[in-house]
Amino acid sequence: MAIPAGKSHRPEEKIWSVAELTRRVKSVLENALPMVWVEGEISNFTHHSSGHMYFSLKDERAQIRCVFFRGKNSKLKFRPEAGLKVRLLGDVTVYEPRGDYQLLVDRMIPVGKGELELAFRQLVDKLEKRGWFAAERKKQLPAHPTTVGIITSPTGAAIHDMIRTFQSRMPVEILLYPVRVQGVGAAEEIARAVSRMNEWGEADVLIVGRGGGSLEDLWAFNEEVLAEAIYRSEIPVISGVGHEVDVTISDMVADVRAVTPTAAAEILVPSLANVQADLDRLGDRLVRRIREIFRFWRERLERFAESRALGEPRARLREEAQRLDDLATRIGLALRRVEERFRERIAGLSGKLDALDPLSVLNRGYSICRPASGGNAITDGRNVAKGDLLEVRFRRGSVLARAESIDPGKEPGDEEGGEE
Amino acid sequence: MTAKKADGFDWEVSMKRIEEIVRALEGGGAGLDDSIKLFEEGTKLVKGCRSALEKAEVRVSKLIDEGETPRRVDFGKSEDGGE
Repeated sequence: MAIPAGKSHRPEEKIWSVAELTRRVKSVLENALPMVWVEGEISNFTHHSSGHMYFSLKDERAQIRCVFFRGKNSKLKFRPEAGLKVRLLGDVTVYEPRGDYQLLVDRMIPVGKGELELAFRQLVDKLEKRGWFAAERKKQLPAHPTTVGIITSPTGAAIHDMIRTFQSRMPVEILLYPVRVQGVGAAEEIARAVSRMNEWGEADVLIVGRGGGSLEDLWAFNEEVLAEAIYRSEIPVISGVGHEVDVTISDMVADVRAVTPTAAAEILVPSLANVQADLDRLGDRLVRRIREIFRFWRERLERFAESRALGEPRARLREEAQRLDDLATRIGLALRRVEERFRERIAGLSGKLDALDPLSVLNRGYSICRPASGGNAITDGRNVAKGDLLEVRFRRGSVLARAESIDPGKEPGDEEGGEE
Repeated sequence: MTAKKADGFDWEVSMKRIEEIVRALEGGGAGLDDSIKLFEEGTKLVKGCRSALEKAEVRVSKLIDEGETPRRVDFGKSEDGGE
């Protein structure tokens, strides 16, 4: 009745080793399920330092371990994360050392959202958290750039639009760094161009952009590698990508977003007409101000001439005269350097200064008359009484004269002979 | 414009200096001699800026990234040829 030892199974039954059985399971599973599509939600996601991704794909009832090797996942535009609904294409395999079965992922696409749309949203969130879009880190554009670095395709419409726009504006030198603006590696190429332009430091400002296209065409401008290059650029960057409706990550990181490449040129450089107007205004202010300064000094010199001319020693007079001559010459020289219209406006100014020179007045045959008793030069007949003694001074010498009759005269309408 | 930069003319620096001069003159305080000096300097700069505007044209160079510094090659002249 006792069961003989070692007879717990029938002798014809094979006894498997663990490895054998596992290998068998593996082969059955793998043959039965070649390349399947499976949909579910990502959980327990880890992105290992090796570059491989490990996670579970689950629904309400079950879950399956998944491995997404670096060689496959490096082409992903978006970042897988817990909670994301995805569709996976892969092979079911068995990992023999642990007896786990798992999905070897070949492709992953998001469910519900487009892949690019998702990638875009994710990168926006990420860079926003890093503060890369913050207004306070935006650099100011140079007011008058002389050298503009443009990073774009040398064959696209954008470069020609920009050159045409620059031609009607303040002249600049354009340094075109030619790059591919779409396709594999384009973002890296543009990013490299941004950092190379920074190394050279020749450009005052950079324009990064391209003409319109589909979301796929514009994709390079949504990649992190380019966002980072723009973020790190010490030269201010304007981005002008696509049309008005297209907003890219590059636009958000750049110091200024232009809605189109043409707009970038317009933002950067004022139109020639505006520049000329600015220059005119400055020139006008300069001339207006120097005239005021001259008027001030002329009045001062007039008072000096009136009150001091007679009493001053000759040497002092000569010194003053020389000073005035000198000033007049310099004004004349200065005026010759200004535009014609400015010159017209100040014409006569230096002549007027000549007229103030007390010595030159006497030289021209005028004389200075003042009371013999002393005092200021007489400018009004009514201040003289019949019989007063007057000292009349000429260029050389003077006479003592007596007033025989007085004509009080009329109020001079125009003492000076017009405004200066 | 940048061609002028090589001769020591710098648009931005010139414009800034003109503005500075205008402000200094408007602020008063400078004597007659200094005022004239400033005025002379200012008008010279205005003239310089004007001729820079007239002479300058849009120059486009394509950069060839090889080695330490970029090589520049002419990328088609501006259409109206400047001057």
